Amino acid sequence: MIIAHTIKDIMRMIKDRKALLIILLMPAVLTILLGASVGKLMNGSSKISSIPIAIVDQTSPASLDDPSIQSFITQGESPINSPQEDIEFVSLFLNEVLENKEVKNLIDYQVLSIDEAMQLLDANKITAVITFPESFNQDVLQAMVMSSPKQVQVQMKQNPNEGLQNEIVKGLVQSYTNQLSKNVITKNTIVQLMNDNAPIRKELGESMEEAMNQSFSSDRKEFYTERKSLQGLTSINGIQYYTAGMAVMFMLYLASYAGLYVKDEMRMHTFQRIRASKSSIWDVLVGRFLSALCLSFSQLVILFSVSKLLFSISWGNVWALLLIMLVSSIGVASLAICISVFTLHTPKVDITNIFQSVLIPFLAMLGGSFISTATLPEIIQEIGNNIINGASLQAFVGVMQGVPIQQLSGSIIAVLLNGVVFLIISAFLVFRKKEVF
Amino acid sequence: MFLEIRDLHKKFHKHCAVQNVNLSIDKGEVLGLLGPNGAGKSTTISMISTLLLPTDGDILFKETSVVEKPQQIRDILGYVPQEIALYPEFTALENLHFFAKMYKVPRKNRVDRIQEVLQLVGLTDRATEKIETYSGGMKRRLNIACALVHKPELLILDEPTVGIDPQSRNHILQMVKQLSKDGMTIIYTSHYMEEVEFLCDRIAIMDNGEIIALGTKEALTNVVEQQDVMTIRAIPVKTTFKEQIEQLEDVTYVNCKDNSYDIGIKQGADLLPEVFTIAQNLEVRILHVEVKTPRLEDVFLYLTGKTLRDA
Repeated sequence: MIIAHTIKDIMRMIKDRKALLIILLMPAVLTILLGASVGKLMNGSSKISSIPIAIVDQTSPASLDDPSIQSFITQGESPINSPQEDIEFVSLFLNEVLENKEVKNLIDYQVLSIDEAMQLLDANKITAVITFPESFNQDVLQAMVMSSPKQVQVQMKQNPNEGLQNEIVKGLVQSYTNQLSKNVITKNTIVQLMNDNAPIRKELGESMEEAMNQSFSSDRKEFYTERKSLQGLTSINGIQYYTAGMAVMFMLYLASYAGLYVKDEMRMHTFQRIRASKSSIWDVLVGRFLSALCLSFSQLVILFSVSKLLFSISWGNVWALLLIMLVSSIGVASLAICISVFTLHTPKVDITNIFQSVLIPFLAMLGGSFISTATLPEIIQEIGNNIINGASLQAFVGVMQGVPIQQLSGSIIAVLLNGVVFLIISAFLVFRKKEVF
Repeated sequence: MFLEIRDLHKKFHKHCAVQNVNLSIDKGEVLGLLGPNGAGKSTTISMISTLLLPTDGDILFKETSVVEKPQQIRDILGYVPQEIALYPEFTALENLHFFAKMYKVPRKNRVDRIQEVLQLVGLTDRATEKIETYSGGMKRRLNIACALVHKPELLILDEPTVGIDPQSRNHILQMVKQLSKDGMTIIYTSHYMEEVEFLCDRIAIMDNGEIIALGTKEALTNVVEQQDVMTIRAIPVKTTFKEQIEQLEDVTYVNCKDNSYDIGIKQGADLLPEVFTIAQNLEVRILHVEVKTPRLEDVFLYLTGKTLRDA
């Protein structure tokens, strides 16, 4: 019985040429138009004009001669030799991270005093101020050497209006501090092993010395790896972005058609006829869920395939893309149920029309279908990235950028949560007005 | 008892659409619900079909409450709504297949059963055409076919002949008559007197949500058997003419529409001279006079003071 409903709903959509034009042809055309016009601005998002930032270096050089470190070192059998040069972790950040060729294309930094930096930030002339406090170098060194280190902090002040740029700067600083943390963890593990296992203590002690010296040397292999991960994200072009943008927008139109067809069935009294048969409301709704799921999945596959055929866009990981399509389709199918139930529950309110003409454009804007949400205020970004179409878009773009699927779990969960909310609302409405159902 | 309706009430906000309806239907019986638009016929059958919940009262199908266990009656019910409840973009076959699945007609019987009902409604030749290409009468017949595809025990038809050509109407009436002969229990609503007279074993006349008379055609006409109906056509139309006739002894009612007057008079009373005198005094010219024995229409008029089509 459920399958009969599913097939009937799919057949109705297939026979509805106007609907097919709207859910398939329009997004394809808009992808081409927007991709070719607005998308030019996005072409090679790796070529975003340099992001101006200020570095405030308030640090003093670190020294192994610090009494607390010395007392810790002298407990060991093989004291670590103090390096010849000053230990300056900030220099490492400047020379090895910001001076890197690829990062340099992206970040334009200047070392300033705190007052100068804040003036520029207030005047919106720079995107962020990264401040290394006075004790930074010593704290990092202490963290690396001692078993109970101090907490190390890097302060970052950002211009709230520049979301995308902020994210890039934040990512840079995070990758740097993450690398430092890794070194500390490695050291702690080694120290623990040394304490627990005397026979290998000497050997490990030598290895640790080597590792520490390597950390202080200018040949920072770990930083190199981290930088690579940052630039490893494939930049996507306008056609790619708008393929996803239009797909997630027009999947909402597909959901709205569920409401349109319900309204049609009420007008034609086929719904009453179905209700008077052996079919329950749950058969009807599950059938509609499955049909919307199939149609939405097909719609997404067709739109991405058309873009691939016409513009040879890169899909990223195909399996990840298919997974996102499936998850998005589940969300859309839940929305279709919600719209259907609301239409049945309150037939006098033209919910489909309101959804199509007001809500979809609004959600599309909020979710980033027209312009990236990175340009919107943070709170709006947060909402946009968590509504069904916005979260789907984030996931699609992420897959095309080569982001591992694990890192997209936030967006996937957001889409599914949207679906759960839609289904809960639907169930509530069904139980609230049993006579209609 | 096959179907029993007890003290049925249905309110929509403050409006009482159905009140105090009590009915019982035996297996194989054809019951007609007769009444003007808005009388409560469709609301009553919607409640029997489990599409609406009664505000009060109960409907028992084979002693089981339909309100509490709607599936009980849905299993044996064929419901033909007043509207063409079909998918216009589908062919007749596709519509029949879909509704056959809704009624859980077993796969092995489905095709045969669909062919049977197509033959019954005379649409075998057009079965593969989209129904948006059908005439009104063909759509009506298919509308009925979809309710028959699972061989229901109880068939409810809500004004199934509205707005169709005489040929299709006749086809439908003959088909319903045949189904009745085959033993199907039928509830047939209409505001066409002659259809109800032709098809139904018993008739319930409804007005303003209530059953105002119930019985066989003969029993109902007996209500007014003590009177004749005089029909006069006269010009010009004058309110005073109607009022003066109403005041005559032996006149039970007068109903005026355009230039036509239906006058209920006690059987055997000779009122013609008095009516002609009134006409002469008021300078009204009588064009036509006819005295007839009462029919259902007159029963309705007698009971409600209005004709079915006026109401």
